[in-house]
Amino acid sequence: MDLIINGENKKFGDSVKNIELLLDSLSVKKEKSAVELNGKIIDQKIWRSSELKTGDKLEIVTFVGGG
Amino acid sequence: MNNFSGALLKYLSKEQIEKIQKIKIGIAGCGGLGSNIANALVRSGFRDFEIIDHDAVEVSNLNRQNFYLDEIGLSKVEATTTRLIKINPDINIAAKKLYLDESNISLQFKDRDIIFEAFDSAESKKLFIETFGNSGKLLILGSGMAGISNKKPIAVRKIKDNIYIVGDEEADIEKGLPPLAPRVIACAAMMAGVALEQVLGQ
Repeated sequence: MDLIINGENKKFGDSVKNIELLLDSLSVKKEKSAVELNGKIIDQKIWRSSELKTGDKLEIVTFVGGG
Repeated sequence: MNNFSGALLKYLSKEQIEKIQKIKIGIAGCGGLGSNIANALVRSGFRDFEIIDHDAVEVSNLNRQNFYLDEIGLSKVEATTTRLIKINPDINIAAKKLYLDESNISLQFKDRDIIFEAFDSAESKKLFIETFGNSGKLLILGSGMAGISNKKPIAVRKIKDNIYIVGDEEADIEKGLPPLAPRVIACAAMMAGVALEQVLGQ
C-alpha cells in the first residue's frame, strides 16, 4: 500500500489496514497526535474503523507541551 | 473611529481595517500564548473576541505571559480585558472564566471566524483540533516553543486549507525545557500574523 504521509510517499504492508494500525507501525504517541485523512480530521474514536487504501493522503501531527 | 482606530490608517488602508474589524476571534487559553496573541491582535485592529481560561494570574507567569505585578490574583481573562481596553476602548471581549475539556469545548466559539489554540498540554491541543478541525473555521495552533535554542526555528506549517501549526513542533516543556518570553512571545506573534495574513489575503 502506498500512502502519502506529511507530503512524503511511503510504502506499507497490507497489514496496516486502518489509521490505528498505521500509527502503531510508526510508533506515534497517539494521545498527543491528530490525524487528517484526505482533507478531514479524524477523531481518535474512529481510528480503528477508518480503513486505509493506496493513494490515501495523511497528515499526522504530534503535539508537544507548552503555551 | 476612535483615536486608536484612526491612527491605524497610518499603516493600513480603510478597506484593510474594515476587513479586520469584521472578524470574530476566539482564543482558547489566556496564558503564554493566549495573552500575547490577544495583545498582537488588538494592536492590529481586531476588536471582537471570545477568550476562555480558568486560571488566575500568578507571579511565575510574568516571565512570559502578558500580565503585570498588580494583576496577580485576578482572573487572566478579566485582567486581559481590562488592559486591552486601554489600547482600543471599542473592543468587545466575551471573557469566560472556564476550564475547557471534552465536556464543554464543543459548545464554545460557535460564531467565531478564527479560533486560536493557546493551551499548554499536548493532549489539549489534540482535543482542540479534533473538536474544531472540520468546522470550516480558520484554526491556528501552537506547538513547540520551549527553551532557549532556536536551532530548530519557530515556523508556520499549513496542514489543511484552514489549519496552521506554529512552533518548532519539538521543544517540549514536558522534557524539562522552560517556557521563556522570547520564543513564547515570538510564537504567539507569528500565530497572530497568520490570522492577519489570511484576513488581508496576502
